[in-house]
Amino acid sequence: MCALGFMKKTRAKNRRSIASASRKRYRRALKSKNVAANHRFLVSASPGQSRCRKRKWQRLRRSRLTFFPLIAPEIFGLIYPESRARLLRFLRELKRLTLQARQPVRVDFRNTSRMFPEGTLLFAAELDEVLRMSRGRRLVRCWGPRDDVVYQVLQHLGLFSKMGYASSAPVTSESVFYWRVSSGQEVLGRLVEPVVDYYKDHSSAAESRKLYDGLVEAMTNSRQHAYTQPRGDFAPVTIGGKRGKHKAQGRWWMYSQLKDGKLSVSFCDLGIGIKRSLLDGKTWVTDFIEKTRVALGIGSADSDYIRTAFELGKSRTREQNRGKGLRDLKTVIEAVGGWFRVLSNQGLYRYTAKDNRETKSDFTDSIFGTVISWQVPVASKEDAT
Amino acid sequence: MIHNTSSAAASSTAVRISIASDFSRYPAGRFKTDGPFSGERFRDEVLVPRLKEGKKVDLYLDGTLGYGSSFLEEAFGGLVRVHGLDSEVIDRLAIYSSDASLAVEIKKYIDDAVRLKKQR
Repeated sequence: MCALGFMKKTRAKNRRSIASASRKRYRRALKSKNVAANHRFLVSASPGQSRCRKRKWQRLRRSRLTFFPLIAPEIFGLIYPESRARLLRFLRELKRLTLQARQPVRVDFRNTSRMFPEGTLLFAAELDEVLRMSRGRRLVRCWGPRDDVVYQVLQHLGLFSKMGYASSAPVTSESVFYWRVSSGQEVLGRLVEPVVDYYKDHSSAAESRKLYDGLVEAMTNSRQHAYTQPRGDFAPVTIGGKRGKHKAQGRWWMYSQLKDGKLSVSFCDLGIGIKRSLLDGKTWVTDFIEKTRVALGIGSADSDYIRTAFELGKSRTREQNRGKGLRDLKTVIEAVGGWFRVLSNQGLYRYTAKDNRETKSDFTDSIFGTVISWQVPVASKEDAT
Repeated sequence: MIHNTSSAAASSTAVRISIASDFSRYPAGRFKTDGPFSGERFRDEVLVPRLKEGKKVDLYLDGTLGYGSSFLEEAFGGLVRVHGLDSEVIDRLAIYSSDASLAVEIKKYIDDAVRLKKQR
């Protein structure tokens, strides 16, 4: 009897001790900045708490800790250093919280006032990857923006629905209405048909064929060369390729717009970037690329390798058949006018047909992928005659 | 053998292949793993069986949306590189296109593959 009573006493003491320790851990966790640790703690710290306190904790988990607030940048752009740095910092934080800490986040778009195609496309691609890797867990939600146009952009491009934000407001802004979205994992020519068909009606057959060539080659490159190594960010390792152990991911995303006599296209992949893909391969191919680069007096930054890719596009053998798509796009733009930009990791390469000017620069931060954008004028055949 | 569609009449005994109607309007990609209408698939499933029958093949390129260079290189350069077809077999292939540059590009891929094969 005595022994049993002692045991009961001990158990009660243990319970008190556990509850006390759990309260202490809870207070410590609330003070701590490590939200993921807080979340883990709160999930596991439920034994020993009263019903009232349990409800309070549940409320806290739902309101404060379950979805970590993440403020979206004011401008979604990749060209100007300041806005680019803010966007990339935001994307890095989004991936760190969701993919590494497995922490659900709520993106706050309330301060966002401008969304450029390249920045928005990169965000859409990263969001897609986060959702794909979270295997059905809805890790990203959002607060809607105050700006009406930004609201329409997020709705029209399907970003609201990806973040579980219910919205059915009509899209009335002309700068938003004409954008079209496509994405895929395979090289599918029919997905670019609307873009090429429209262009074919307004230009020569040779130009529209080159446009098709440029688009499907960008897809082929993303399929074969972009995802052969880890990206170097928080995303899990995806190694593929023809002989790879796992099936290549090869995902790509594209926005296109036909408006005011101009065709604008942005194409994105989240691969290793042009520089690493050029240097990743057979030794003799790499040697050839390096010899070409050195012979042309080109440096070794990301932007230099983008330019090298254009030069390699002139060659046509199988192993050296790299950059042909870029070269084809440039040919179209040289013929009909317009501009294009290639962003790959830290590098930026721009070409403007008007003054036949090409510029290149490098940033300090990487986009961990490649975004190619171009715009060509689309004059109707009636105008031309 | 390269022909312009408007200026040449096809041989009556030859096997006729139109890529647009017999394969796809959207040829794209290099390997079968790239997509359903890749150069490798066209070469292995359409082109090579016809060439191996020993007949002449008239290949019509018109009617598609375009051709990615990877598709062309794998489909025609691969005839030499993968299947080891010699020039006698490839000479039985006649290409018809309204875009002369396309046929020239194909010939270049075949020539490059032959040159590389000899180098190795």
